[in-house]
Amino acid sequence: MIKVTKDLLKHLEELSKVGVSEEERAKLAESIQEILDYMKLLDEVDVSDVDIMYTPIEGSASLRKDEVRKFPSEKIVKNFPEEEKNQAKVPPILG
Amino acid sequence: MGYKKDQIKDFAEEIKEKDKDIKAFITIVDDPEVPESGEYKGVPIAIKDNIITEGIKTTCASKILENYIPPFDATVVKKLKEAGFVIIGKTNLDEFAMGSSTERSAFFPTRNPIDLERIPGGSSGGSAAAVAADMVPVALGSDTGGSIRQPSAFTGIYGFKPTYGLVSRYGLVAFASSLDQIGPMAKTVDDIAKVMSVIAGKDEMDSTTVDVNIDFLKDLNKGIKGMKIGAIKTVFDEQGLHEDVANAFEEFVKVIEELGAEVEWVDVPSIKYSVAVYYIIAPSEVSSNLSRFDGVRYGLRIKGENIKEMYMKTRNAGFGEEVKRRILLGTFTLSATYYEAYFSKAQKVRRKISDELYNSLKEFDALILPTVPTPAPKIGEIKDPLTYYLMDIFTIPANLAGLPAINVPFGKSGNLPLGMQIMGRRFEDAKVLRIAKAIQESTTKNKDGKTHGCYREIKS
Repeated sequence: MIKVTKDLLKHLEELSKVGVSEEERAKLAESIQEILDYMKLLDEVDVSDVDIMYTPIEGSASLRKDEVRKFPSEKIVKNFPEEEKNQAKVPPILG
Repeated sequence: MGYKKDQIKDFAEEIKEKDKDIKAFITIVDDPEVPESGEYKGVPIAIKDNIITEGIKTTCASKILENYIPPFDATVVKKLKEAGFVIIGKTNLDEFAMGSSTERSAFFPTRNPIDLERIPGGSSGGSAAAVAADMVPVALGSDTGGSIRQPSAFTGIYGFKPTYGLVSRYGLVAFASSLDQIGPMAKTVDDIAKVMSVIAGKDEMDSTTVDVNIDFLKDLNKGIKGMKIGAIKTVFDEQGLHEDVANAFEEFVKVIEELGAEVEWVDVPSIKYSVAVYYIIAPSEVSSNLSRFDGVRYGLRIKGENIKEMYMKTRNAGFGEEVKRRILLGTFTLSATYYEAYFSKAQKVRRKISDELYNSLKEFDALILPTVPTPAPKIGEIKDPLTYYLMDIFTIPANLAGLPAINVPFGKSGNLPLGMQIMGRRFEDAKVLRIAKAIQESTTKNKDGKTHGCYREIKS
C-alpha cells in the first residue's frame, strides 16, 4: 500500500513545478492519502479482458488543415506578464 | 424579452443590485455589446468564467488568471453573439471548475438564492444562482463530473450536459479534456433546447466535435407515451442517500409512469466505482492541462532567481489548495511507477462503466436516477475533500461514458430543491429534453411545489 510521505509530496512538487508551504504540504499529504486509500476500491474489479478507454469519441476525431491564421498580436502582447519591444520577457533559462 | 441598446445598461445595474448578497458574478459588463441581428436579439446570458470572452476578463476564479483579458471568443460565445445574445457577465465557479460548492473560488463563495446560508453547488454555482435568482433567463456552465447538473439540482433549475462531442470546447479553459462539456442552464426545458440549437455543432477548432445535426425543438412537446425508461435501483445501495431524495426518486418514477411510459428497475452495479475512476482520470488530465499556467506568456508571474524558481513561486501563489491537490495527485497517478496501477486501471474500469450504461440503453430510451444524493449543504459544513467527491457519484457516470444528461428540478427537502436526472443514448440529446419537457409540463400542473421557479421563456 502506498504511503504518502512528505518526501513523496516534495518529489511531486518538483515534477509538477508547484511550490507548496510546509503547512499546506502536511494537509495535502493527509488528504491525498485519504483519497488514494479510497481508490483501493478498484482492486476488486477484474479488468483482465478490458481495453483502455481514453475518450468517448474513439476513432471519430478529425483534423483540420494546418493553415496559418492571422491573430491580432497586440491583444496577446497585452497579457504578457513582462514585455519589452512587443516580446515576452522571461528569466534566464540557462544557469 | 430582448433588450435594446439603451435598456441594457439598466438591466446590468439591476443585476448588480440583485447580486449583492448572492455574489453569482465575478464580472458584470457595464456596457455590454448588443448584437443588431439574430433570432435572440437582446436576450441577456451569463457565461461561466472559465469560458473565454474577447475583451472581457476571464479568470477561472483563480489568482493566476485574475487579470487575464482573452484575445478571442470561445466558439460557443461567438455563436451566441451571432444569434443575438448579450454577454451580460461572467459567473463564479470553483477555481478552474474543480469543486462542487463554489467555495473553492479564489475570490468569494456564491450563496444559494433559495437559502443564503447554503452552497449553490458547483462548480457552475454562479451560473446556477444567477438563473435561480432571476438575474438572467439563461446561463452557460461546464460539466466535467456534474458541474452543471449538481448546482442545478441545488438551486431548482434545469441544467443540461450534452453528449460529449456535440458542443465545441474551443475556448473552454481545459480541466479534463476527455470529460469536459459546455451546456445551458435555465428555468424551462424550452430555453435549454433553444440555447442548444445555437451552440451545438461541429467545430473545426475542436477535433472532438462530431458532425451530427440535431433538431432540439421539433419533437420537444410530443410526450413520452410508449417509451421505456430504466430506473437505476443501484442508487439505493449508496450509503449517503438522503431519505427525501430516495422518496422523491420513487415519486419521479410514478410521474413518468402516469405520463404513459413504462418504467423498469435496472441494476448498474459498476456505478459504485465511478468516483474512484473519476478522481484518477480527472486529476491526471489536470496535471497535464494546467502546466500551461507557468507565468511565462500570460497571467500571474512571481519573480524568481531563475526560471524554475519563477514557475514554483508563480504556481504556489496562483493556485488554491484544491487545484494543487489535483495537480499533485494527477502527477502521482501518471508517474511511471504507478501509471499501470492507477491511470491504466481507471481507464479500463471507465470502459466497464461505459459498457454497462451503453448495454442498458440498448433496452431503454433513457435511464433515470437522482442527480445528487443529498440536498445542498451549508457553506463551510463540509471540509474534507473526499466527502465532496463522493457527492458526485450519480453525475460522474454520464461524463465517463460521454452521455447526455439533464437535471430536472423535482421534489423538496424542507424548503430545499432536489433534482432528478435523465440520461440518454449518445446523440439522442433531443429525446432527453423531450422526456424532461413532459415531466416539466406534468409537475407544473401539480400545486404541491414539485418544481419551483418561474417559467419566463426567452423570446426574440
